[in-house]
Amino acid sequence: MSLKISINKIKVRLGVLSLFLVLTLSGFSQDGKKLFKANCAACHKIDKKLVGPALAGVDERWENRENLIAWIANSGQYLKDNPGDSYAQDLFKSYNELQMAAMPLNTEEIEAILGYIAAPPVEKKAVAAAPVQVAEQEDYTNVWLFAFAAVFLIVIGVLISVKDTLKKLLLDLKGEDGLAAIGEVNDIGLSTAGKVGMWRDSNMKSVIALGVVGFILVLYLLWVPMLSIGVYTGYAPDQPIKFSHKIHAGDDGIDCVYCHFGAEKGRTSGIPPVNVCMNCHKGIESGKLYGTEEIAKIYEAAGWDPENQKYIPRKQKGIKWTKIHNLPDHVYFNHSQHVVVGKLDCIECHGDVATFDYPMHQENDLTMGWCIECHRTSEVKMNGNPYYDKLHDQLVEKYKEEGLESFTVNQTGGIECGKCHY
Amino acid sequence: MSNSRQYWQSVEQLDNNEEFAAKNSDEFSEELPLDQFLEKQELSDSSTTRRDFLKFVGFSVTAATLAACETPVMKSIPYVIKPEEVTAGVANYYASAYYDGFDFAPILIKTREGRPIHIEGNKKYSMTQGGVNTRVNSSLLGLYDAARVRNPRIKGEDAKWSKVDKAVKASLGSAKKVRILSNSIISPSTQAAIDVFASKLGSEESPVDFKHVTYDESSSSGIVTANKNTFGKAVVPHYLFRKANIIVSFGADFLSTWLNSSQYATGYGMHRSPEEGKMSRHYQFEANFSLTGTNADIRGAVKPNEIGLAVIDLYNAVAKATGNASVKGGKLDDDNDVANKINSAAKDLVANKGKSLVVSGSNDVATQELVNGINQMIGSYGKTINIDTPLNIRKANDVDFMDLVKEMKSGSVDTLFVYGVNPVYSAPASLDFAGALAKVETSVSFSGVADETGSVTTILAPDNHYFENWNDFIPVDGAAFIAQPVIRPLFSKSKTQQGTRQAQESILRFVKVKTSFYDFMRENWNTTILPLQKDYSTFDELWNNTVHDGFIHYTPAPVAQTLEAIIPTSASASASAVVKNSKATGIVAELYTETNMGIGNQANNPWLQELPNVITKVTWDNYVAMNPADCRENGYNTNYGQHLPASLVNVTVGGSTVKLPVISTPGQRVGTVSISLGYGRTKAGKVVEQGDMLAADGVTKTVGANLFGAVSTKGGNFNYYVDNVIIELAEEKEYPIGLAQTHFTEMDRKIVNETSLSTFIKGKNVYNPDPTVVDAYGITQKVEKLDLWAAQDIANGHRWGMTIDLSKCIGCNACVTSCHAENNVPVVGKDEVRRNRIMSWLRVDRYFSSDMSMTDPGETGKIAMYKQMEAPSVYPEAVHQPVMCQQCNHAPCETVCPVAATTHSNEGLNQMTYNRCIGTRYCANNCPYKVRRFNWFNYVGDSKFTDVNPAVNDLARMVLNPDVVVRARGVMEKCSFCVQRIQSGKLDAKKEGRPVADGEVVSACSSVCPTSAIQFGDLNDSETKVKEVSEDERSYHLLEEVGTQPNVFYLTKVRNIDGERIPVGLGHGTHGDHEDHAEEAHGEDAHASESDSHSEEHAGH
Repeated sequence: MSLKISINKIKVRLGVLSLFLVLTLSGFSQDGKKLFKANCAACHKIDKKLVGPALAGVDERWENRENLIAWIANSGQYLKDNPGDSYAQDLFKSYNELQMAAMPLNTEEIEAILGYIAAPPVEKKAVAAAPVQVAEQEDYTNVWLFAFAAVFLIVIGVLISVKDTLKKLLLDLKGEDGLAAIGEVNDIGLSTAGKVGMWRDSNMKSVIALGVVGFILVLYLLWVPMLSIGVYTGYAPDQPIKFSHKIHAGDDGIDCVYCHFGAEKGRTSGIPPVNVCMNCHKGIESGKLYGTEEIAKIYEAAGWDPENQKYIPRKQKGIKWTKIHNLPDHVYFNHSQHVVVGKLDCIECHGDVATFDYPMHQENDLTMGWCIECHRTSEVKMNGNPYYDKLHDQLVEKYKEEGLESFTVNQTGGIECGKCHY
Repeated sequence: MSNSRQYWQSVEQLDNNEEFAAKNSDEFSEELPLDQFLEKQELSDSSTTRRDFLKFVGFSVTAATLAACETPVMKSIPYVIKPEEVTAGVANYYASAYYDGFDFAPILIKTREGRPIHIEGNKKYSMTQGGVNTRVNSSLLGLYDAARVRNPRIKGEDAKWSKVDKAVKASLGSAKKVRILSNSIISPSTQAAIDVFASKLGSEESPVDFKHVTYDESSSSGIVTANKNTFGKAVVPHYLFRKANIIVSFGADFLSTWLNSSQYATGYGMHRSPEEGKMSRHYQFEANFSLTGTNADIRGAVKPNEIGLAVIDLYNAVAKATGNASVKGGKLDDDNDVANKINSAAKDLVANKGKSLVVSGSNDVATQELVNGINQMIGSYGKTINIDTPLNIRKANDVDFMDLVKEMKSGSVDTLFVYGVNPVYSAPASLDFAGALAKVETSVSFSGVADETGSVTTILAPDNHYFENWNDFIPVDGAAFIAQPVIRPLFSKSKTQQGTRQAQESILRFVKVKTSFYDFMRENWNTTILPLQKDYSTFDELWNNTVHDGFIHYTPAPVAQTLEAIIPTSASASASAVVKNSKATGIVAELYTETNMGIGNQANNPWLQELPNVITKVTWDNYVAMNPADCRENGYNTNYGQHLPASLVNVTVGGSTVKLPVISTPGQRVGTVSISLGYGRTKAGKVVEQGDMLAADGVTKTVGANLFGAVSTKGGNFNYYVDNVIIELAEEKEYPIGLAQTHFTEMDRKIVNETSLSTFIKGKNVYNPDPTVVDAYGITQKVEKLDLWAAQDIANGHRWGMTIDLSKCIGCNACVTSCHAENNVPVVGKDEVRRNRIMSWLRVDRYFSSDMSMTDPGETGKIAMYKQMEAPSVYPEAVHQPVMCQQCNHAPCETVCPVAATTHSNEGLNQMTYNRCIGTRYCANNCPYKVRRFNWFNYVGDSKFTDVNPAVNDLARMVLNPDVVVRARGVMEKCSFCVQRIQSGKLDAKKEGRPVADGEVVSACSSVCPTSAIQFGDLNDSETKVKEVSEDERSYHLLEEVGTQPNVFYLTKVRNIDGERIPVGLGHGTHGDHEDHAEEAHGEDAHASESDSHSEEHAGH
C-alpha cells in the first residue's frame, strides 16, 4: 500500500518534473553550465575520468534519480544511509574511498547540472593549433645598402679616373704654367699618398675639424654600447614550454601571485612549481594556441599520465626554464618588501604582463639607476602600517620646514648602498 | 697614588725587540704577493715576453668585454612538487640536538631551501639559553665534509649494503663473543636498539657472550669511580654552576671542555656581572692556562701531578674551619702563593655553605674522593651538586675499555662494533688497540668517514651525519631531547652509490629487525617517555610538540636518594694515595683537550683548524705550551710570529717521540708543559693534510701531533699527565707558526678596562671615568665636544648597536665560528695566516696583564717605569675581548675611501659595498680597530684554497649563506653587523605591521653567546636590552678618545677580588694626544718612536 502510494507519488513527481524539465531545459542548460564549472569541474569531466568518474550518462547509470540527487548532494550521508546500494558502495571503493565533499546545492541546482551533463551545448572545437602564419620576410635592407655602396664606390673610382684623364689632357694642351694659371696643380706624377698630403696641407682647418668630429664620433660609438652592457631590456629567450602570460593572466584573469606565490612571502617571486600548473591542467588538456602539444610537456615534467589520470611514480622531471629577470649576485632584492610592504603592483616593474604573449620578455632595464629613480620618487606606504608610526612622526619633525607628511623611500634611507648590497 | 696595569698581547710585543717592531709597524706587513706569484717555476720557464703579455692582456680584456655583452643564460628549475614548508628565499628553523660523546647542546638549525646553513642554540632551553660552543656550531660543516664515505666497505673495498648485512649476520651467526664499543650512550632509543640487538643474539643452545663497553675519549672515569666509592653510585654528578657563589676548580676546564661545558658556561655567566646580584668568585688551580683559568678571579698555578696535593690542602683548610678531621698531606711545590689562595678559597667556601662548588678535572680516583669530601663538608650535595639525577655524558669506566682490549688481544672477541669513537686514534699507545683490533675476526665501524679506526675495521658501515638522523638524548634525567633530520641523507642510495645508513638502523638490521629507527624511536617514546610526562595526553601531541620544541621536561622515575653527608672515613686513605700518586720525576706534561679541537673528532673542519687558540692564538697546530721563563732558560724562541719561526722540539714520552713547536705561554706552571690532544689526525680527510707536521710514517702531512698515545693508564684510569718527558731542540730547530693575534699591535691605551669588585663599588668616576681631551687652548674637554666630523643623522628610525660585557665574556670563540658560518668568511690556510691574511670579521683579542703596580716614576723616568711595568709576570691574568667592526658613527674609514665604497647608513651602520670597492686599502689603514680584511685572493676559485676553504668545494659550498655575497678578490670586507639579519628582521616586522621587537634582530655572534655577553638591538628604542646595557656605568667605547663614536659598547670587566684596581691609563689623567700617537705608530719606525711618544704623552699631563 504505502509502496504503491510512494511509487505513485514518484510517478506524479516525475511527470511534473519532466514537464518542468522540458519547459525549462534550455534555461537549465545555461545555469547548469555555470554550476558545473563552479562546483564539479575541478574533479569531474563529462567525457573523461578525472579525479572522479566521467559524468556522461550518469543519469542512465543510476536507476533512481532521487538517489542520484541525494548522492550528489552528500555522498557520505548517502553511503551511510544506503549500505545496501551496491552500485554506490562499489563506486566509492573503486575510487580509493575518496569521498566527494558534500555540495551546497539544492535539488533544482543539481537537476540543472544533470541537465547540462545530459545535453552539453556543442563546444566549438578549438581550431587545432594552426600555427600562426608569420610571413617570414627576410631583411634585405643591408644587402641593398651594400649594393648601393659598391655602386657608389665604382662611380667615384670612375669619376676620379675621368678627372685624371682630363687633367692629363689639359696638361698636354696648356703645359704646367697654363695649368697654374687656372688654379690647378700638376699632381699627376705624384703618388696617391702625395696627393692626399697635398690636399691635407691646403685644407688644414677642415682636416682638424674633421678629426675632432671623427674622434668624438668614435668615442660616442664606443660609449653607447658600453652603457648597454649588462642591460637586457626586452630579453625574451626561448622557453621549454610556449607559455603565454596573455592567456593565463590576461584572458583567464589568473592573479599573478596564484602562480608566483613567492612574491608575497620572500625574496624571489619564483617560477611556479609544476604542481601549481597541474592544479588547473589536470583538467585542461588542450590549449588555445598549441592544442595538447605544450600541455603535454607539463604532463611529461610532472610525470602525469593523462590516460589514467594519475601520477607515475618516479617519473617527475621538472622543467628547465630560462630565467628572464636576472639581477647580479651582489644585489639583494626582496619581492615581498615591494609587493607586501611597498604595495607595488607587479606591472610597475614587469610591465603589463597580461598582454604579453610567448615568449615572455623583460620590460624594464633593471639597472641600478632604474631602481634608484623609483626609490627617489616613490612614497613609502606608511599609513596603516604600525611599523612606521614612530619613524613617520620623527620624519615629520625632521622635515618640518618643508612641511612634508609623506616620505619617499630615499628619505627613509632607501638609496643607501647597504640596503641592497651586502 | 694610583695603581695601573699594563696589558700586552703577546710575548713578542712585550719584549718589543727591533725585528718584531720593524715587522709590525705596517698595517699590511707584506708587500703585494708578487714574489709568491713570480717564484712559480712555470713563470720563469715561460718564453712569454712583455709584449706578448700585453697582447694577451689586450686580447683578454676585449674578449671579456665582448663576453659581457652576451646575455648570460641562466636556467631555473622549479620544484615539481613544492614541499609545503619550503618557500624559496625564506629560512626554516628546526629544533634539534647535538651529541658526539664530548659535547651536548640543544640547537636550532637554520635551513634555506632545505640546505642547513647555520647552527644556533635552542633559546627555549633555559639551561643553555641559546648558547652553543664553537665545536657545536662548527659541526655544520661536517655535513658537507668531502671525506664522508658514500659506500659501505668490506675490507676496504666498496660493497653493497646487502653484502654488508649478509657478512655481519654470518659473523653474528657463528660468533661466541660479541662486543659493542661506543661512547657514553645518552640516547634512550639507541640504548633500546642495542638492547634489542643483544636480545636477538645467539640461541638457547649456543648463547652469545655480549657486552656493551663504553669508552670516552676524554675520560672522567675518576669521578665515576670516586662517586662509587663515596656514595655507592658510579655516576658523574649533575653540577649546577648557576647556583654557585664560590667556585673552586682544580684543573677542570669547565667553561670549554669539561663534561657538560655548554651548560656550565651559561650557568657561570649568570653570576659574572656585579649588577646582577651577588657576583660569584672563581678560584682556579691548574697547570696549563685554560680558558676557564683566564676567567678565574684568583688563579694558582699548580703542577699537574700535584693537583691532588692542592686538593688535600683545601680539604684540610675546610676541615679545620668546619671542625672535621684533617688528613695528612704532602708538600706542594708552590711558587706563586698557592697556599694563601687555597686558604682564601677555604674561607670563602665555608662562608658560603650550600652555595659553593668544588670541582676537579683530575682523573685520579683518590683526588676525586677528597673533592667529594670537601663538597660534603661545604654542603654542596643537593644544592650545587645533584648526584641522584646524574649526568649521562662521559660516564664510562676506563677499566671496561682496558678489559676489552685485553679480550681482543687474546683473540676471543669474534665480532666487534665500534660506534661514535675512534680508538685506533685515541687509545693510549700502551694498550695497542690497533694490534688488538687486528685479532678480531669481524670488526664493524659506524664512522661516517674512513677514519683511523674505520679504515682498519673489516667492515665500515657509514653512519649518516647527525643532521640526517632521528635521534633522542637524555643528558640528565628530567629532560628528553629529540634530534630531527633537517635534510635527506646527502649520500643516499642511487645508481652510483650505496649511500650511508643510520648506525642504529644498521644495528637493528644486523639482527633482522627491519623497522626504521624513526618508528623504533616513536615506539620507544610511546612506552617510556609518554607515561612520565604530564603535558600531553596523547602520543601524537607529545611527539609533535617535542619535535617542534626540541625537548620535553618529564618527571624521572624516582631513584633512591643519596643519604646526606657522612664525612668519608676513608679520607686519610685517599690522601695517602694522592700523596703517593703525586710523585713525579723530570718534566711533567699535561695533556689537555683544547677549546677548539676537543678530542679531534672534527679535525677535518677547516673552521676549527683556523680558529685561533683561545690563549696563544695559534692556528693550524698544537704545540708545547711552556712558560716564557722556561723558554728563555732553555734557549727556545720567545720572539716568534708571522715572520719569525718558533723553536721545534722533540718531545719524548714513554719511548715515542713527536715533533712539536714550543709556544711560550705565560701562566703555564713553570717546570711543566702542556700539550693539547685532538691533533695529529691522519685519516680525517684533506684538511688535516694541510698541516706542516709529518705523521709517524714520515710521509703523511698532519696538523699538529697526536698525543693521545702518551696518555698513561696508571691506576686503572686514563691519566692526562705524564712525567719524565724529554724535550730537546729538534734537528730542524725552527718551525713556522701561524699566529692570529700579533697582526695588530695595540699601544698603551684603554682597550680592556678592568677593575676589581672593591674598586667597582667606588663608582664610575674611579674605574671608568669619561675620557677627556686637552684642546689646543689647554682646556680639558670631554671627547665628544671636539669633533672633526659633522654629526650623522642617526636619531630617527633604528640605530643598531651592540654591547659586550667583558665580565661575562669567557673568550670561548663561539661567536667567531658563528660569524664565519653566517657571513661566508673564507678560510685561508696556515700559510696565509702567517702572512697576516686571516679573514675573520670578528676576532677575540686576548690580553695578558702584568701584576705590576704603577707607582710614581720618580728618578727612574717614565720609559724605565713602563719597561718595568711590562716585565712579564710569570703567571699573569688574561682578559678576552671580542673585537669586530665598531660601526663608528664618525668612521675614519669612510672619509678616506676614494670611491665611497664604505659609507654610513641612517641606522648607524658602517656599510661596506663590495662591488664598489677598488681595493686601495686606505680604509684598513685608517681603521683604529684593525677590523677590516682584504681579499688577497679569489678564495672561492684559487686552487691554493681547494682543501681549506669550504666555498671552493662543490659539496661544502652548500654551507654558504645565500643572503650574503661571497666576496671577490681585491675588495675589503668587514663585519656588517649582520645587515642581512637586520634587513630580514625589519622586513618581517613591516610585513606584519608592527615595530621590531627586542631580540628579534640579533647578530650571529650574539645569537650563540653562551653567557649572553653580547647583546644586540636598537639603541633608538628605549625598551631594548642593548639600550639598557649601553647606559650602564661600566660601559665604555674602545679607543673612545679618538672620537670615532662607535655603536659597540664594552662593559668594564670586574674581577671579584679584593684590593684596588684602576684600569690602564686612567690613573694619570687624559689621553689628549692619542691621535698623534696613532699616526706615529703607523709611521715608518713606529716602535722606535713608541717609547718616545709615551714620554711625550705623559709629560703633557
